[in-house]
Amino acid sequence: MRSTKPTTILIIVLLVVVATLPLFGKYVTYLSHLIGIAIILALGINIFWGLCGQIQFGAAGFYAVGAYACALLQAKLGWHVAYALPAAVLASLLIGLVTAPALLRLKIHTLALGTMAFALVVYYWLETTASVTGGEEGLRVLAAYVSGYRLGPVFYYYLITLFVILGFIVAERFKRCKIGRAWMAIREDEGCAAVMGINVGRYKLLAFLICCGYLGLGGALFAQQSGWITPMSFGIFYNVTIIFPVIVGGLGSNWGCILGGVVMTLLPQVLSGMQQYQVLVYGFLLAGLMFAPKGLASLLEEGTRKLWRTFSVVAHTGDKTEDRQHCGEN
Amino acid sequence: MREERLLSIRELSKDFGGLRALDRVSLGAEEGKITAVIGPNGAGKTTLINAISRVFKCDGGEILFDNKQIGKLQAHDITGVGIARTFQVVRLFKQLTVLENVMIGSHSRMKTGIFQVLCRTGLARSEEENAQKDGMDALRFVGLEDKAGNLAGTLAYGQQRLVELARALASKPRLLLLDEPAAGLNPREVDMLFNLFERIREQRITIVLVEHNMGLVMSCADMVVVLAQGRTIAEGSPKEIGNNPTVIKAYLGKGWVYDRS
Repeated sequence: MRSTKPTTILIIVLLVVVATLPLFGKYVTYLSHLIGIAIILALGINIFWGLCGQIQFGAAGFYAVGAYACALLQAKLGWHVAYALPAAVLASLLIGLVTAPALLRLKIHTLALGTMAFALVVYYWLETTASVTGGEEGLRVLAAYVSGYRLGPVFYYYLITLFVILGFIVAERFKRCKIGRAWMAIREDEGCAAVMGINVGRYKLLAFLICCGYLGLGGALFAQQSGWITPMSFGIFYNVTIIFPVIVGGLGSNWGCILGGVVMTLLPQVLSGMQQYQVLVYGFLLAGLMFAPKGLASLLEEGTRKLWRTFSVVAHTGDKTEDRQHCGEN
Repeated sequence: MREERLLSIRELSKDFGGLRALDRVSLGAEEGKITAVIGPNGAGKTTLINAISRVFKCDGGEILFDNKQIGKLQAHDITGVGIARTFQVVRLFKQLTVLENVMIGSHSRMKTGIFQVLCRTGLARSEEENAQKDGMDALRFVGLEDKAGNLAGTLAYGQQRLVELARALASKPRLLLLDEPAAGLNPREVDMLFNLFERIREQRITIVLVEHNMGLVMSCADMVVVLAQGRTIAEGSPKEIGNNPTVIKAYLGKGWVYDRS
């Protein structure tokens, strides 16, 4: 987007809001935890599904691995969250590595089923292995301390925001380099991509593992944020709702992940008074995707483009043709 | 015996279930020359291209490129060896821009790893710039540089074919495998293709051309190989092939007149 005064002011306002959000109260902070985690999950899924085009219907499985790995290390082995968190991400990556040979040879429908099968296996293991995971009752995640200071909601707000920013930058970098191009080529035409020199198997694995990493991180952060994790949060239906932010925001768009994360987290809060209408609203939302198949991000892009065009026409009426600046695409 | 030709196919066979698509086919392509492969539909021409570009394994015979066996390579290795191809039906990455499509041609020549790319090191950035420059050069070569930012799927069919060609050229190949590049093109576009072939030949890039457009084949090919039912039935200069009665009977038709114009 063109850098002009209104845009810079908007950006500054946004930065100030983000930096001082905890001041707006406990509820706002709580919501921003959920939004931040939803965005991190969406960014990961976007890399595997949006860019590389591989269906991921088992995201909740890796999300659970991250959450439970972190919680178990803290609760059973007494690890500090500073170590448990990266270890949880590693755990998610390892599980990804183990399941990759089985999953990544599948395509489209069978891949959807395969990933969902994985998530189901994780869910049932969590529910039934009570001695390790606490079964239905779940695990308590106690607050961590650093030099006597309790790591509370405010700390986690800033930590989650940091991860969102880093995660976004990394995702954008991937998208705009040869790796992102290779992924998109695989998405468009796998066979052709191979002949063009792209090692499809290796790139799929890379996208899959990066997705697992993001999901594991989201899970570990969720464990800290919620304080008590149960298998219920990672049930079969969650595999479907976890992908809503990416799809609503627009598959392939990182900005869409942010938009989708915000919208899909706030929507249930807005609808909490109308439980019976929730499913209806979700239905309409998904049906509405027919009109904007590329998601909210594309609508926003079109909207800003049309706004700029109108703005430029108004601002430049009266200019000589040679002086008229070319108001191009983003 | 040392092989003089850049590409040498010896006794290549390929079965699809009960169907023998290639039956001990032997042919070669000399470096810097245009070798055309013609024949009726179902003769095995596209199977031949697929075999050379390692889309599948063959059931017999060998493929030598630059005196090295390539019959065991994987599909994604062929651009690294110096072979690029186009497809009978255009296979572009429709949701990517024209330039992005062509830049994928340079993919195997970009050697930087994940971390270098993520951290945007000097090497990674310069590789990306070079890929972009090579992509624009390739687009300029086919005359489509002004379409670089358009989505590939929005281009006219003839232009899409040219983008495919640019994508193949971006990998800086020694051998170009072209599968019916003139299919669906109007006469003016075929003329343009002919001119492009001449300019490609000037750069000493070898072309293996599968084509039905006899005007194009006869005017640009140095050597013509005729396939029918998975076997080579004739091989020679365009003039020899054009006057070969077996070829006329199997493919060219009785109304055929050899006229190199």
